[in-house]
Amino acid sequence: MVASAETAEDLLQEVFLTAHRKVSNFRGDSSLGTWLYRMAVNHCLDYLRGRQNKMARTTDSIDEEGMVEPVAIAPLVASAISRLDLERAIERLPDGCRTAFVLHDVEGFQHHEIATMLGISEGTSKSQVHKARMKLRAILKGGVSAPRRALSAQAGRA
Amino acid sequence: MNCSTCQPLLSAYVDDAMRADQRAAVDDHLRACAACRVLAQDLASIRLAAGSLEPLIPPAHVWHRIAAAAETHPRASGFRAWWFGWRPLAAVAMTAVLAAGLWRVGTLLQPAGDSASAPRVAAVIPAGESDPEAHYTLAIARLEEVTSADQDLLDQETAGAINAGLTVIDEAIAESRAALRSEPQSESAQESLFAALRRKVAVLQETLGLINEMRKGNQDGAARILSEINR
Repeated sequence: MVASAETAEDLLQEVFLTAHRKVSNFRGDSSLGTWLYRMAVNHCLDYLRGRQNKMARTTDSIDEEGMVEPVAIAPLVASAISRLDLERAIERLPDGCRTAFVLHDVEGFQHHEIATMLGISEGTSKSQVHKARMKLRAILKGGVSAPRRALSAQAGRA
Repeated sequence: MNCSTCQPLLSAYVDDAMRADQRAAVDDHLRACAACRVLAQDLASIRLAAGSLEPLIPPAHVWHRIAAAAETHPRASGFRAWWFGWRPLAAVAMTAVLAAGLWRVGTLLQPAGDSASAPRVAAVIPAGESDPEAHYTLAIARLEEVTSADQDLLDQETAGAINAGLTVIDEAIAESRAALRSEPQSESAQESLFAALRRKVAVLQETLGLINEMRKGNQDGAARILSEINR
């Protein structure tokens, strides 16, 4: 979700220490697991919001993702996508669509749940997940060069 | 429907989250368009591969660091009591944090046995204990006996997260023992072994607390039984 092992380790520590500080505020109106889960997700989101300017810039760039090239190359096969390749590709996604993608496709949350968590509309959640998948496809199919091609094409249009 | 109207719908299509009439229109286009057909297959494959990613388990040194940070936290004096009473919570937190996806990405984690960077955690060896390793080993054996008998009380996901965490710790223990065999006088290898053993004791205690909470739904009871085992 935060695309960095070091950051994830720092956030995990913060979640534990925050739970320590705030456990007296736990009212029992949800399960303890839900309370902690929400705290962990919120920590990630706070961290990501801190990088909001960068996120807005990169999200803008993928808003203009063009149509795919009409080339019928061999389709991706899920079992042939290596974990490492996929995780590295996910790391390269812009924060906004990576968050929605991880919550939906990796964690299995529904769009309406993601919308509540992120404070966005359900439609935005859907479009962010779609953009993330398109971006991942470009990365996984094109190696390192595909996204650069896409970005330079957008720069050319701008 | 043409490619430019079809493509934005393909995620909803592979998620099976569209109206029947829309789906039929997409199906019609896909039958006629190889490029969009491949795109739909690609998106479905990405979704499937992402959903199949295994949770990443934090390496042992992260737990050591958190334990050390907790000890030096402003409320450190209360931490032991808190941690002790809330051991079941710690196990839930481990699962929750893992499930929250903190560890799904950015996977180039350091090896589990990277004990050189692991801060010291507070010693839990009783005063006068002459053979700490035997002490830990005995505690672990006792805890494993109790927890393995009742582990089926835990849900599969929690048990999986805990067992994965224990596997990481076991690897750290094995690496430390190997290092000690080649360098018997190495203090860092010795400390690394003790740290990993302490971590295993702590995780097993957390597991036991959780099992007990599951059984009784009683936080106080969990803490009391834990204190008896700890004695």
